[in-house]
Amino acid sequence: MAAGLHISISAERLFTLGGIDITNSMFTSVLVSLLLISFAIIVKSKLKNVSKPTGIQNFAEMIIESLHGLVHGVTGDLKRTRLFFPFISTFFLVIILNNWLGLIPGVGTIRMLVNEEPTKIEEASEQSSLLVNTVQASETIAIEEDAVSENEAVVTTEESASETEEVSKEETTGEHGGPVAVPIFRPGTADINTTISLALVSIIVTQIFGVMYLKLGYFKKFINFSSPIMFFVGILELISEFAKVISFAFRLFGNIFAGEVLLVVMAFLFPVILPMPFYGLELFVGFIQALVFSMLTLVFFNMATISHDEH
Amino acid sequence: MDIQLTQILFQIINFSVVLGALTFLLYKPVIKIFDERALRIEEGQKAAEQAIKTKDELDKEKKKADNEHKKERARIINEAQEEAKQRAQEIVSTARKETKEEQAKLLEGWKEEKAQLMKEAKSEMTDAIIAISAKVIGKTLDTKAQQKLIDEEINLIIKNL
Repeated sequence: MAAGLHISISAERLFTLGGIDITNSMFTSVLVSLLLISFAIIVKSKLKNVSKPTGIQNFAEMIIESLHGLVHGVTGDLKRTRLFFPFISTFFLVIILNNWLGLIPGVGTIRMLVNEEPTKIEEASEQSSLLVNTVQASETIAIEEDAVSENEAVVTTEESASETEEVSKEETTGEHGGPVAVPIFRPGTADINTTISLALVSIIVTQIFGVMYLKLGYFKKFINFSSPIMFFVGILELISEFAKVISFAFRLFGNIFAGEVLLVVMAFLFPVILPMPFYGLELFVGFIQALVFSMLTLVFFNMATISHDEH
Repeated sequence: MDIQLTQILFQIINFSVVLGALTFLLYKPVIKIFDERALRIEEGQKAAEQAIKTKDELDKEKKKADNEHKKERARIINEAQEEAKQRAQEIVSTARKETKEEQAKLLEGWKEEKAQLMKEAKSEMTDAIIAISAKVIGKTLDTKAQQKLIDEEINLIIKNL
């Protein structure tokens, strides 16, 4: 059972390409991008200007029309809708696909052997054995209840803990710091670097749209000498822009990574029926998180393009 | 949890590529279709509204024409009825006139015939009476005297009739 449990808070290196370490989350993100681009190419090739679209065109139109309606509902202005729509829908599609990809069997369990740096190996083995021990301990507690005597149970706990350590070391580091078994796929959104990059794009584009619409007047939001209170508010606004990046990045990462851990642990404890409701929950969480990220970005875009006088 | 600038840059580039690809391959063409469809629907609605307007106008014209036709029909029927009445009156009056004329003619003919018959009867009676008288009185009067006597007697009989 312990062989199925692999939890790592950071993405793991799969290979190096042109001096850049390609992690499993980068690999999965690229896979998601390729999926989306392929879908777009297929849709474009089958696009027909008909009154009753069918098949893949119908599906694409359904998604795009829903998202377009959502954006237009917030902006209320076609010009703004057309400007914001590509960003919002791309955020939504990229995030939801990354989130849901983590639920596909094989993602997180199909592994390849990778030569790790010694420091990383130690970190990984520590993390893995720590988590494995925690889960194993909870399992042992359940066993304890059925056990005849307390002494026998303690012995079992000690034995199982030492067994688990051995297994996890073998699994992650090999015998003498050799190759490590690393999951090939890891949802992009379960990596903090991906969520930070998405948050950065969102906040940078917000500033660009603000300048596009309000010109230099946009910066009055941050630098305002009209009164001491406004000056202080400006500083708070400036801080809030940085806080947005952190909030965006950690909300998405936290939710998705927590979901991944939850599923792994549930599958580890009882692999047959128990994880099913959690899979449903994670499908919902994946959708909600994509929607939250997109909607917040949309609201920030919209707010940035409306002057303070209009507020 | 290690934050690496290269990974962040990679993800930003990855997102930008997806954004560009989806914008040009998916969003723009599909939205273009939406716009064209919306335009077509709008045009269709306008055409439908125009058709409804035209239909209403045609209905009005039709009603107007119907009313005119009704009036015309009523007028024609009235005229025809009047004409028919007039014709009937004419026919009836002509018939009456003709009947009267015919009656008059018939009456005249009948009178003439009667007169003729009377005359014939009178002559026959005269002859008979003369013959009878001659036989009875055995005396033959001259023809003129006989005739005069008979006529007087016949006239007397006719008067008594």
